Formats: sequence, structure tokens, C-alpha cells
Amino acid sequence: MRKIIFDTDPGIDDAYAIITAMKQPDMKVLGICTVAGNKGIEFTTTNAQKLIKYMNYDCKVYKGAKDSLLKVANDAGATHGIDGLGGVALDYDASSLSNISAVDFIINTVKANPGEIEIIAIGPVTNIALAIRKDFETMKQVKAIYTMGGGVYRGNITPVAEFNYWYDAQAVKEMFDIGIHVPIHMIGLDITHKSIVTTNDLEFMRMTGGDLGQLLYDMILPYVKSYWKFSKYTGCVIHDLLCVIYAIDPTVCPKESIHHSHLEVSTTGITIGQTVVDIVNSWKQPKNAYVPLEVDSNKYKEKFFEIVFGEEIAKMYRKYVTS
Amino acid sequence: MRKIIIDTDPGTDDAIAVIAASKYQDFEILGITTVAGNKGIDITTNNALKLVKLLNINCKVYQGAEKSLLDQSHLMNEDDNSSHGADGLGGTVKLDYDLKDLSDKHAVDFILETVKANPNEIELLVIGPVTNIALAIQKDLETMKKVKAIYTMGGGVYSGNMNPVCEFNYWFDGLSTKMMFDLGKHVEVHMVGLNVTKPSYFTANDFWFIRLEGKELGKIIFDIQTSVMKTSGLLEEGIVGNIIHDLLTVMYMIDNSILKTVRANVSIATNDFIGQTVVDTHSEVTNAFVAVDVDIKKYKESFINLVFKEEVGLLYKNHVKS
Repeated sequence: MRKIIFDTDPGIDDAYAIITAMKQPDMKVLGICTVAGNKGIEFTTTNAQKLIKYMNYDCKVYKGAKDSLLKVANDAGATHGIDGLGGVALDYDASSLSNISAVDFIINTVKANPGEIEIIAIGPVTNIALAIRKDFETMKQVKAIYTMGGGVYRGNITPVAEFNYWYDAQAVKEMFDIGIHVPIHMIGLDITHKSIVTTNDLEFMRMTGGDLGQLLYDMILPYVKSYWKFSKYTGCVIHDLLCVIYAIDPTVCPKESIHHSHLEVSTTGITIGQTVVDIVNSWKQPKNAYVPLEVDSNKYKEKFFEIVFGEEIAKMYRKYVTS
Repeated sequence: MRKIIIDTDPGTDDAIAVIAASKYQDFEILGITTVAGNKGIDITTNNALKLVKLLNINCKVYQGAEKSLLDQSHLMNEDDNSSHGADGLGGTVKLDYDLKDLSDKHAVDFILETVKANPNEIELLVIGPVTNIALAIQKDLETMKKVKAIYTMGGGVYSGNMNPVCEFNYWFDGLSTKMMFDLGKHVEVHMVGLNVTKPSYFTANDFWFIRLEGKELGKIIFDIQTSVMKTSGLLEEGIVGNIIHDLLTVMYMIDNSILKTVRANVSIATNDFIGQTVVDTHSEVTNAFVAVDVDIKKYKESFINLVFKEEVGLLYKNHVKS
């Protein structure tokens, strides 16, 4: 059983990612750490609690950083709807919130399970950086980090920066400092934007996915509207979902496209949050990141349907859906 | 202006066809005649009234036949809402209607009187079972010979949906269908069958585009179509989308180049496999133009261009991957 800690700012795409991990048989989600990003910390924490209750999952939520290290950024505005989950009505239990902080939970858990904990970090990585600051030696015992953020040849919040990394670039820098000890897989915009979930896919999910399919469908409607408005295609990119699917099955990215390279992140000026990946090794610096640049989009989506809705529906998906 | 009468049993696909016809500037819709088929006559008539009000069509609705000539209705399952929903329009759209838009004249009389008053000018868009047409032929064959053209959705070339060889409209009233094609010796009959409608389905991506760019009417089209998409698209046809059979018929009527047709002799089975169209493309005597191929891209683009603004059509053309 793989032992997983989520570090997240739900967020619609975070919700897809967390639900998928909860459905993956060989993953045990030990805890969900929250961070400010897509929305403020109170929203993201409550949303994590809502997901636990809806999925009836046995783990707690650990509230984390309410500000990025440099305290410069605003949240993602209306992209995720007013409440961060596209306005779907979900309950939560107050008891699912732990009084242990996210940073302490991460450190304690890694200490108790050295070399075994995998962190899926799909929000700004403030908590990870704070944990590294607090106990570097323990954080070296993390088994792997899967992080959604950055990009090699594109940005979204600026021409060169992706939202999560832009939101707390200083934390990103500090996270990649442990990349020489811990494998860090960066799922960046280069591949998330090659993995478009179309409205055909979403309608298929609504028609075949029962209550959960309907919930995920309802949740994502704000994305569909905003992708049409800004990108002019009928569908959306569910960034964080790709991060989890890659963590589950890295073969969704062709092996030869995964670059083990040195990565630097800008922490100031107009390039803040930009990731520069030295694919050709011109700097001759230690390799601190695994960066896939290609993805088999159909395989990714088939995997999602298989994990979340089962083999029968995945079979139907393969047979009927031309995305 | 082309003078048309729409003979219909709305119906989720009929509704979209009527929307398209109402937006075409060169059509003068003289009346909408109703027939039982997709639903019973009361429901189809109500739905026609709803469409007249929604689209502000300047014509009346004329209620027609409540039974097919052979009365196949006992073979229908009234609770089967898979293609049209309980109310015939998918069940999710609430539309009003005015009873003043309903004429007290019968559909058959309206057709005959209108043809008589406009000889060789009236085109019939027949997108339900063809019972009204057959009754009009029975009543006054000579007048019906003066119809300019009939565009009928039904049948198919080696294609079926009620069974492997029969399409619903023609199966529902095989006898009437036979009478209509007999008239084909005198009147141009254009048959748009399942062999061309099935491949030209709208995908969920198409419907989403229509919803995102189509304002109120787009939302209505989206709701009507996606409400039955699971049962009639996915489970019935294995597609993530829906076939809008009747729409292809009206789009072809507007622009002939959307379909490739051949002159053929169409005979209708009235015993075994009732309603099957036996299409003989080698016959010397012919009674119909039968659609055999479709330009799907052109079809969908023309529809979007027709119903929405030109810039919406451009967006569709440039950005939507069906």
C-alpha cells in the first residue's frame, strides 16, 4: 500500500485528483494538508473536509499556510466558483479537521514512515517549504513528491509562470532544493494542456457515472465556461488530475519524454514563478527534478474512468468516446 | 419565398428541425400540421403550439391523424421515454403555448385547401409518420398531385432503428408511406433516411458549443437534446451525442448540396418487415430522390450559421472539434 499525503488547495481540479486517489486501491491517503491558493485557507480547508465526508474516507484534514512565503499573491478569483468547488452543495463534519498543523503532520508522518511517504502537492507548495525549513533531515526521508505546477514552454498566470508556482515561488525554490535527495516529479502546463478533457468526456461521465459522475460534472461547469471564454475549446484542463494519474501510473507519459534535469525557479521580477528546466544540461548542475513533456491523453482519461468508475465504464469509454 | 407546410410529431428532433425552418428567411411557413408518432396526438399538437410561441412563427397549428392507417399504436410502449422524454421534448424544458394558435381545421383539410390555392407551389416537410399525407391523397389525389415537392424523413438504405431494416416513422405507418411514394410518380419526393442521419449525429461537444454561445435558444436546444442523450444516443447508438434526424431533412431542403441523392424507385413493405424501404437504384421508373451520402461538416456548420449569428458560425467552424 502506498502511503500518500495530499497537499492541496481545493479547487475543482484538486477535488478530481483527491477523489481519484481515494479510489485507487493501492493508495492510502493518510491526510489532507491544506494551503491557500485557489481560494483562501478557510475555503480550501472546508472543501477538503467536504470531500472526505462525501467519499466517506477515513483520514483527517490538516490546516496549513494561509499566506505564501512572500505574501504577494491573490487567489484564483472566480475560476473555481465562489466556494472553490463550483457551487455544488456538500456537507462536512467539523470533527474531520485535526488540530495538528499541516507542517507538523507532514514531519511527524515522514518521521514515523521514513522512505515511505509520497507527497502529492497540487497547490502552492508553502507547507512543503515550511516543513523543509523546520526539519530538513526528516524531509530528505520523503519517498517522492509529485507536484503540479510550472511549465517549460508556457505559463498561465503570466506568459512564463504557472499559478501554483507563481503564488509561492520562494517555496518552490526551497522544495526543489531537496530534489537532489528526493525524486520530485513536476507535472507542468506543457503536459496538462495536452490532456484536454472534452465536453464529450464530461457528458459521458454524467451519463454513466451515477451520483459521483453527476457531482463531478456539476462541479466543473465553471471551468468549461471559462475555458471556452479564454481558450475557445469545448472542454477543460484538469491539471491536478493529471498529477495524480501520473503518480498512479507514470507510463501515461512516455518514458523518453521524462527529463531528469536541473530546475531553477525565478523568485523575483516579471519572471517570478517561472521554471527553467535545463533539459540539455548546459549548466552542469545537480539534477533535482523529473519533468515529463509528453502525455498520452487518451490513456490518461481511460485511466481516470477505470479508477473512479470501474472497468466496465472504462471499456465503454474506450469503445464509444472519441474525444 | 418558398411556401412550406411542416407535417410533424414533435419530438425532440422535430423541435430542432422546426427551429431551423423558422429561422430560414426564404421559407414562409403556412402551417404546422401534427400527427401521432413520437408521442400521442395531444402531446405532439401541444408541442407544436409551444414551438410556434417560442419561435414566434406566424402560422397556426392544425391537428391531424391520431392513428396510423394500420394503427401500430398497440405496438408502442407509452412509457418509453427513451427518445423524446415524457412530454416529447425531453422533459426538462418548460415552454408555454397559446390555444389561440390552434386552428379548428383538420390537418388534412388544411393541406388540401392550401395546395389547391397554391398549385405547384407548396413544399411539404414531412418529419413524422406520413398519415396526414396519405389521408389527403385518399381524399383528393388530383390536388395532391399539385404539391411541388415532399421532403420526408424516414426509411433508410440497409438501415433501421425499430429493427435492422425499419425506421420508426415509416414503420409506424407503412401503408401511408406506400401511398406517399406512389404519389412520387407525380410529385418530387426526397427521402432522407437513417443511412444518412445516423452518421451525422451531433456530439456533446457540439451541444456544449450551442449552449455556450447560443444564448437562450442555445440553452433550450442543449436541454432538449442532452436530456435524452443517454438513452437515445449512448445506449441506443453508442455515441456521445444524439442524432437529430429531422434536422438533416430541413437542412437539406434549404441547401441541397448537404446530401448526395440518387433517383431511385422506393417500394414499401406492408406485410413482413412493414415500413421497410426497398430502394431500387437500377430501376428505370423512379419515384424518389434518395439520400445516399452526407457532408456532415457542412450540415452542422449550416445549421449553426442559420440559427445563430454569423460570428457564432465562425467560432464553431474554427474552434469546435466534434
